[in-house]
Amino acid sequence: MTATAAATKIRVLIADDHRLFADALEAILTIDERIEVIGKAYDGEQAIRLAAAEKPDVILMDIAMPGVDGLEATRKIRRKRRATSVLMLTGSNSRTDVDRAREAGAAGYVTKDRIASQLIDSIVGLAED
Amino acid sequence: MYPGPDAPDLGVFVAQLERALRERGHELELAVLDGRGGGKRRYATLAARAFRAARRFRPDVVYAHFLVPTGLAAGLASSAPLVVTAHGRDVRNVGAVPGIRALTRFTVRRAAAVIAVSDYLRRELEAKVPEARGKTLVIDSGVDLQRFRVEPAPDGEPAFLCLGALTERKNVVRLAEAFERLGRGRLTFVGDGPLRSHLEGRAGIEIVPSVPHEEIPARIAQARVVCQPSLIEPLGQALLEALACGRPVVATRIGGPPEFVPPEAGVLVDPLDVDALAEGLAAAAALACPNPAARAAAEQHDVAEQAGRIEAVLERAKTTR
Repeated sequence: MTATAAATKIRVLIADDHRLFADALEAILTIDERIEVIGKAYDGEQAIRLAAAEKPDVILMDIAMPGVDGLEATRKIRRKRRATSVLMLTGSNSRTDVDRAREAGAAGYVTKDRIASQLIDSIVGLAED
Repeated sequence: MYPGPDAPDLGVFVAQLERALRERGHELELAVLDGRGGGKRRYATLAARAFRAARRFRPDVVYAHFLVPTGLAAGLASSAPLVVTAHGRDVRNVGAVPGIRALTRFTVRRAAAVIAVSDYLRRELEAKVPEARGKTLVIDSGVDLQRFRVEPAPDGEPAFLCLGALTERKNVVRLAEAFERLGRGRLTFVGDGPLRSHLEGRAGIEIVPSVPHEEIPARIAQARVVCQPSLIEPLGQALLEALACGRPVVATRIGGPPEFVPPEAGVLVDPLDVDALAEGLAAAAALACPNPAARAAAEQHDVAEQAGRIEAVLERAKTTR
């Protein structure tokens, strides 16, 4: 994991099939000077490709995407690159979603209704681990 | 949407509600788009503005207008209870624009309460988004009764007025055809849009592409009848303003107008039936002008009263934190 030295931003990839959602996330994250959004993926396949090419520190991964979903993409990414942490974006904090995210290799999760209060702290927390 | 220097007509209903809520003693912090430019990126800009504003202001409640993208952005930008007003196009987009259904469902689930500007819109929303059932109330944005006052009727042949974009949904070409069948008076369109060329050059028809927003009440006062025979009108804000000025209306029967246009003050028409529309123009021109029933109907939608209703919804949402 990249250290969060003052000059080193946390490099974040956003993977969500809803472009408006991904754009809004990017806009919110970009406000924090510790974070740099290095790309957006709109499906699991694209997330796997971008993760290999860009080597982000953290991926915000929507759990539900068409085709290769967030769980499968997380497994594949984590198998190849342990230095990248995945933060799963879930619709709820149901035990099922949380357990599936952990089993796939996600380091944590944020429910989408808690993005404002938890997302940035969660990203920074992962980067500092 | 919010009135800005280059778009003073944008989201006027938001600004008037804002004033009314401030007058009731509430503190408000705004995160708005006050221009039409910027493409889809402007919604990301709005999300960032909302996030900054929420961090600085720490609201008890976030109140957004339009489900997606505005309500979505507001829901992401703050963890405070969310109240969202649906205005029409946001509900129409569900099922019509790819991806919007899921985002709307998320926004509605996230919201403590949803407000629809008409019962018609509430039914449409609840049919498309089951999560809206049980949390959607009907409160329209209201009309400023001080600004839109009863004025004497204009002299001479009936003057018809249509306020709004010259688009397919506003049904402006059929209105022009109906006016031609009526064969008397004059018809003024205040607005612009892709159908302008279909209206230009017709006898008795004038197009005024742009009017300063503050001149709208005077424009209504110069008309005997205000027409909004849209294919669908979720509320019909221009009709409410016309009624407040004591003007009879010709209104579409599809959408919100049947909920507030009384027979003494207006005619509801099938927007696809040009003959019925022509008959509606004649019938509305024969109604009293100024029209006491029109003003009375508008008074049921006084913006100050609507602000009070919205205030109650915001107060209830605050307790869900």
